[in-house]
Amino acid sequence: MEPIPQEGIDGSARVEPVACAGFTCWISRVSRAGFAEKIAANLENLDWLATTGVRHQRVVSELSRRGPILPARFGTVFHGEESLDRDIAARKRALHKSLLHVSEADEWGIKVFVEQQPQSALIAASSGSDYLRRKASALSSQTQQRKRARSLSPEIQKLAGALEHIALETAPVGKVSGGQPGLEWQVSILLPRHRQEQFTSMIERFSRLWQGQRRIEFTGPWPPYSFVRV
Amino acid sequence: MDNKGVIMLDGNGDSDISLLDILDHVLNAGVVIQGSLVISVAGVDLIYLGLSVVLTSVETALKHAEKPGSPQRH
Repeated sequence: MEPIPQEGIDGSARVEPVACAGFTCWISRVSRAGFAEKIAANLENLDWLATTGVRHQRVVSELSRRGPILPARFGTVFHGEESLDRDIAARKRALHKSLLHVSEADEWGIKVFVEQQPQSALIAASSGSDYLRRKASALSSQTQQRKRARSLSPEIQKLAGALEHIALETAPVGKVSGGQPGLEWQVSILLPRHRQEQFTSMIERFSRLWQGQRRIEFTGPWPPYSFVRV
Repeated sequence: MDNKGVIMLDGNGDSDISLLDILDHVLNAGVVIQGSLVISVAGVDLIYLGLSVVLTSVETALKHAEKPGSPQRH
């Protein structure tokens, strides 16, 4: 199996394939004291989270080019190959089902912003945590309160309905970005690849309809992070 | 920026504007192995970190970043 050039989760380990109960599991070997036992504390470190999260995304993204993939939850660590193999073998059927479900489909993230003020320019940041801190300073607690209190507007409901119609599945998203100023609504969808053009046309249609009132941003294609609940 | 604002990520998609999006998606779910397990429990084969730990940490860290005069690093 062709190795991948991306660095492993700790920044140095290789990413390697391991055969597990009929699946290929891609792993990187990390030190217990140097990495595994520090994860809990590191989760509070925005620099670490930004750097490690991006590493995770790069590896998963590269692997997803090769075929259907089920991303493991960020931070999952096994004591060894034996316990990994045992766990995969125990959930073989569910994993197969999940893999079929996400085959030939990608995750897309959609965000709707109200056009109150000009969109902030690309934020120049010196580091991952600096970027996140600058974003944090733009958070408006008022916006968040308003968002929570308000039920979905009829226009958003229309978009939500259209997305549910075109997608295999939708999932909430936004635990990190949910406080962005002006953000009215966001969602993740699992979209069959053959419907990608249909999807972008649909978004363009809503964008034109909402010109001046709302702005739609969408990102993708992502590996199916939000759709592998097994 | 046009109204579509499409950001197509390749394997190295880490432009400034997509870091929040990366964390949004990467931290959203993924294969759940078991429930949250504490690392120190004897005989546990798997160390698993509950997603709620990550989210609380990010939320906490972002809140601290808002306060003036707060330490820059945790």
